Amino acid sequence: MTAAQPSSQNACATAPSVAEVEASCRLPVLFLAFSGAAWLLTGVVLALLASVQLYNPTFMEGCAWVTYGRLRPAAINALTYGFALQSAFALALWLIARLGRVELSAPLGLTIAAKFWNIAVTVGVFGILAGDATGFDLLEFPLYAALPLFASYACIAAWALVTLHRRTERELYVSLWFVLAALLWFPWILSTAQGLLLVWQVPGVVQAIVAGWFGNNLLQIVLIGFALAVLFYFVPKTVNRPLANPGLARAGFWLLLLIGGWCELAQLAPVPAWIPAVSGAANALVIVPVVALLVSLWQTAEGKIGETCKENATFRFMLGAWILLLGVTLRTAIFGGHFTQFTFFDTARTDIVVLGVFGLAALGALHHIVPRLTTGEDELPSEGLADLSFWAALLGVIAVGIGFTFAGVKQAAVGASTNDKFLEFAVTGTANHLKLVTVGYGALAVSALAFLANFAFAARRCCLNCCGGAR
Amino acid sequence: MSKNKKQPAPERAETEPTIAAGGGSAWPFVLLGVVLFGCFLHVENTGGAFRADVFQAGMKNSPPQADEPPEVKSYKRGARLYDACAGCHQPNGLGQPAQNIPPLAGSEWVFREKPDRLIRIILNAVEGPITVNKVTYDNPAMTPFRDALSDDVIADIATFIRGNAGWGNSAGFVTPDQVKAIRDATEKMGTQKWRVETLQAID
Repeated sequence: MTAAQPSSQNACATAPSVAEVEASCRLPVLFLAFSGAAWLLTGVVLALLASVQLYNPTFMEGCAWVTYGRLRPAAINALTYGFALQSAFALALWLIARLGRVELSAPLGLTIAAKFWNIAVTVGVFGILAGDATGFDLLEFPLYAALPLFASYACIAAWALVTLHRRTERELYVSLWFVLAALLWFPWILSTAQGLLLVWQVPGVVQAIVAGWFGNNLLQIVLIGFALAVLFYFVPKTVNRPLANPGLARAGFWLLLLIGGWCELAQLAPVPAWIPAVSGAANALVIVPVVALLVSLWQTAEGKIGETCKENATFRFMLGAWILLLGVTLRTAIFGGHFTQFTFFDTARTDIVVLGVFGLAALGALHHIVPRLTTGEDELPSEGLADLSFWAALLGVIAVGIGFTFAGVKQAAVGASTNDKFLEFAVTGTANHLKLVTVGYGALAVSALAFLANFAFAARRCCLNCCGGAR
Repeated sequence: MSKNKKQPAPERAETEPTIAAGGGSAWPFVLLGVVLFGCFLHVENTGGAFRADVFQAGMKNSPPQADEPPEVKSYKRGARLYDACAGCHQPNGLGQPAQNIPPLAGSEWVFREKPDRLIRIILNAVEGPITVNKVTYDNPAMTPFRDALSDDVIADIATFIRGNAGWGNSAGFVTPDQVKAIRDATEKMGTQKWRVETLQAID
């Protein structure tokens, strides 16, 4: 295979310029980034409305479409498929094009596929609201939305892999390992889970195991993988140093793929005891690759963290994602066992990974990418809005994470005692924690709005500057 | 590696991140080993020995069937106690026609709605020619068990004999109270054996 590739000198001679690379990225990446941010706003608003019903059950009562059982899955699926995966595709395409020094293949085709992805997510969210949800965590989209979703993904991933194959920079940088792994991992877990749950319909207990396995892999390998790809690209870049200790990154990458898929089945109860036991062990083991990867990033930035934080908005997001990844890994390893099953504790993990670890990394990356693809400047037009977006997102994720985590621990304590005042302590007693969650979703909505406004200013300036010449 | 490109790149075309030389640390693998040891302990202690029927962390065997009804327990005890009877009546309950020992399986003396006759036979035995399934047996060898067996044991054995589906019997279970009532009512007989004609009057 390597024999057919051009030599490094030839590659450099034929490599497109950065401007050409970015021109090819412009349409699909900006479209995916904008749609992703719009879905972030939609998703957190839906999640906010759902969270109000947790302590105020009469809120919006009487309409089946907006009951908690439909709003919450609709919100989480909108955030996962609409925001997270869609932004991940934007970042993956951009990283492949930039790091591979290659123009995107079929930018128009990618844009059309992304359009269909958005249509499928819209149909899926309305399907959930209409009551067609499948009932499996993170897989609630009905089959009529899941199949087009998979088809659009196949197109996007295929063109991304074709672009990667045509790269002129043959050496794969660390970020591209994670991008490649996540791009190949996602269709595997999605097709396996959809096939087993919706087509062949495995019996009872196995369904819970399959759905739990899919949900964990989506979060732990795919979304955290994309987040790490972004971190490994932007941390060395913003501190302007080479990546320190790549051996750690390599060990962390392979160990994460090996161990990550086994985690987080500890929250399932009605399964044989060995499944939560092994999964709880994996929860602890996965600390090793995560810490190895984070140490590699830390050593890269060491000594320049405060300085870079002040001057670079993107780095701030990266630092937030770095801290949250460490936090969510330790939190799940220590408390994610039998004690907290059936509580909000597990809900917190989904939100922290989707909105925090991945969300902050993606928003930070988009704050770097969007101005380059629109105005050609290094920063988005409004520094204030960028700051607002960062702080609102960080505080929002922390509020949601802390609110759900503490509500979950409190419920677990009630469940573990023989106290019969379940309603008083575990339901109405968690209301204050859940109000914090609502505030957090509100902050996240502000963050998404600030980013979208900044995006709109940049797009407007771009149009004014070049009168549409860039398109 | 992209350093050798010296094209007049625009100012904003910043360089891509590169990888520092060297690197590679052993500590992740050492840490992995340490954590792995703890994980083995965790799985050993809470993994239910990888059995598909163990759902409770910390258990290694499936939980006992605590909710077994008392008559089933009585039947199981009776199955063990029947060993004392099996010498003559055989484990299959068919008796030994050659030795004039009548069968218990399918016997109309056993397989009745009420256990009264059976309990009386176990307590005091029966003598004289007895007709079971149209075959007449005459063997005085059976001994009274009034003083040898307690009410509980007799009830268990009677439950097993009457309810043994393998023998084709499906009569209801017997309680120690029923045995005690008959034992008290027939106290005066001592160890005297029943006559067949007397028993036939009993339902």
